[in-house]
Amino acid sequence: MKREFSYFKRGNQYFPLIDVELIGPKASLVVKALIDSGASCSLFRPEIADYLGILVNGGRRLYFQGIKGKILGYLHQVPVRLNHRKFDCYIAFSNELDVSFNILGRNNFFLLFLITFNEKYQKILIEENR
Amino acid sequence: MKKLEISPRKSKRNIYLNRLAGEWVALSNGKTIAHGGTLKKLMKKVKKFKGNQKPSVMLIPKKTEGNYII
Repeated sequence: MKREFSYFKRGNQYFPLIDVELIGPKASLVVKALIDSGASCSLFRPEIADYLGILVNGGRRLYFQGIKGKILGYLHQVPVRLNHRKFDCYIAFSNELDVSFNILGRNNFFLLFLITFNEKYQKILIEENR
Repeated sequence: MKKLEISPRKSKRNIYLNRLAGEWVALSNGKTIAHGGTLKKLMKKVKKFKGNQKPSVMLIPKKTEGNYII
């Protein structure tokens, strides 16, 4: 199943954000997340973990290297729903995340979907990778 | 060589979202249905919303967040 998302506009910039539903022990939440092919792993805001009922520092402790430096995050396996498909996604939550966007990185999100960035029309196409 | 045309869509919504920089917002069908200083405050407001789809939430980047190289 294919699903198209329009880029999110902020000022003169456009960002490839998509909607993903995260399912936690206490609640579920549809969250906008930035598709980032440069990121090895997904990194989300800690407030989301709190809302879902996930204890942030209960996950596997990992450091993430960015351009500026390292940040500490905790890796969790979170049930996620996209395009009616439910799967477990590796998502780290970090209290040190400086950016407002949640980041969907390659492991393991990119394994499951074919992702097309259409910069000209500012659209992103997500389809199942069979 | 054909010139690349870029025509940014300027809408009132974009300006409105910019005013909510640093706040959590809930969006449904491209419209802002609620906003709040924290995700918990936002979700209290969202629970009152009756729509066909679950709204999606995000933290609007602060004005100090500039160009990203993530």
